[in-house]
Amino acid sequence: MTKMTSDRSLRDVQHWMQSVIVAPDGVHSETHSRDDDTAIEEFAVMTIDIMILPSRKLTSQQRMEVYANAYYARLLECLRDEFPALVSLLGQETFDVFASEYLQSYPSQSYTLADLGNHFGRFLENNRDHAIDGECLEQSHAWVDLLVDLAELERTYSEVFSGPGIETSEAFNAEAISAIPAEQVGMIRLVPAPCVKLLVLKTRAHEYAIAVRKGVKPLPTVPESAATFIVITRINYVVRTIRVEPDEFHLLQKLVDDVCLEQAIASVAEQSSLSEEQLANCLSGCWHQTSSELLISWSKNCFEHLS
Amino acid sequence: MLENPSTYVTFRDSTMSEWEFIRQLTIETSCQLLLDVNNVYVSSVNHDFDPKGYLDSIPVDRVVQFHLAGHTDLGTHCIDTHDGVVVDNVWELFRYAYQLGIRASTLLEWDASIPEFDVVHAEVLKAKDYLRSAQVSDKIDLRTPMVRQDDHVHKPSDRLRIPQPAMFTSAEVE
Repeated sequence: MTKMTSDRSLRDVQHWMQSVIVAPDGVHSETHSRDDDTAIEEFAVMTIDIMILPSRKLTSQQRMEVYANAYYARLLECLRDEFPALVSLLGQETFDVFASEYLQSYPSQSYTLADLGNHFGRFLENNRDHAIDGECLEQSHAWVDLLVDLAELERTYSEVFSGPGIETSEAFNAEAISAIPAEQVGMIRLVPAPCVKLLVLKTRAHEYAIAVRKGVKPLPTVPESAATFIVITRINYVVRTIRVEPDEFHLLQKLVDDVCLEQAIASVAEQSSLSEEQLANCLSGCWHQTSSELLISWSKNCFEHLS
Repeated sequence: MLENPSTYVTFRDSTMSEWEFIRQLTIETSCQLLLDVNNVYVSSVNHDFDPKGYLDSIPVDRVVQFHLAGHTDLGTHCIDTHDGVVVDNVWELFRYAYQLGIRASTLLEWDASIPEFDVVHAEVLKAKDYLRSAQVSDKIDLRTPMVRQDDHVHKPSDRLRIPQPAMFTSAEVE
């Protein structure tokens, strides 16, 4: 092991280095002492010369800059990779400002970069007032809605992509539902696939997000705010986005919540604003004909098996 | 199995060189080594030491793989960016390591600004040429000091240069 000539232990030096690297203004931090953690980081920065030798061409501080710059640059790079549609909407410079403030509000505390964007949607939601243009309120609200929706959507893409899925599970024989006696169909419960996420967005953010990923030019204009119901799942390791009708969404939500099919349908019928006939038409595929393509499709993509 | 890193600072408290530390660690633990020749070169520039002296101290029989990569030379220091071709001095160090008796497979790391496959492939094939020349030629003067090339030095630009990118896998979405 490396011996230390001073009283400082290896652990002391490691903590010192971490403090310098995560200091908000890098190696140029000055003493402001906004809080205890910041004061420790600022003190660490002031002691660079004591801890680090200069090289022939760089000062101690310039040498530490390599690490300090790299820390935040890497985190920003990861966030840009995770939220490409947000980068497109905001432009990289503005995105970086938001992302830098986010990293100060929610410092990385996980061993894995996969967790880095966990709270980005919440951060933007909490700061939505800062992003609203006072002169053009209606348009600005729609724009901020899209901003927040994209953060939630793109974060969900990451979680669905890297989380557990059903690729290696035994294929769910959805046609088996057809074999269930008609009087028992209403009692079936379905176990959701772990990769299924249901989102209610305020805009059609998914169209914008997909267009960015496909490199479509020109990109869709900022959509008007309107409740949008989205199912996200993963098939063969590719994340899929499916827009559904509100009643379909609520039915799926009930099924995912382990409500039996009959009760789920009854609940949707009770809450639906559609007439009985309209609702029947909307849900006929999964309601009256249990072997319908829709239910089978949902079963294959959204559920693992019957419970 | 351990790999020697690229490093950018020297601690005042340190009492042992990196190559001596790697040597002792390898001997005492019997671990194996991924010998990153580019990292040896980058650190040698950043810490003003002779890269051949570093290689001289590596226990020859512990190396199981060579790593090669491109770096960014900013004139005042080098950064291990993995975003370009391997520079001549690193190839020379690679040949030197072979002539010291190190025998191991070779891996080229190119994981930022990745070019067309043909370009990467051609770079990999250079390794064979250097090893072939190391086999047929008389031993080069092992003590010839390495002269840093100026022709690939970048001027510090606005673009922030950071060590090899953090690994983040973006979701595949349709």
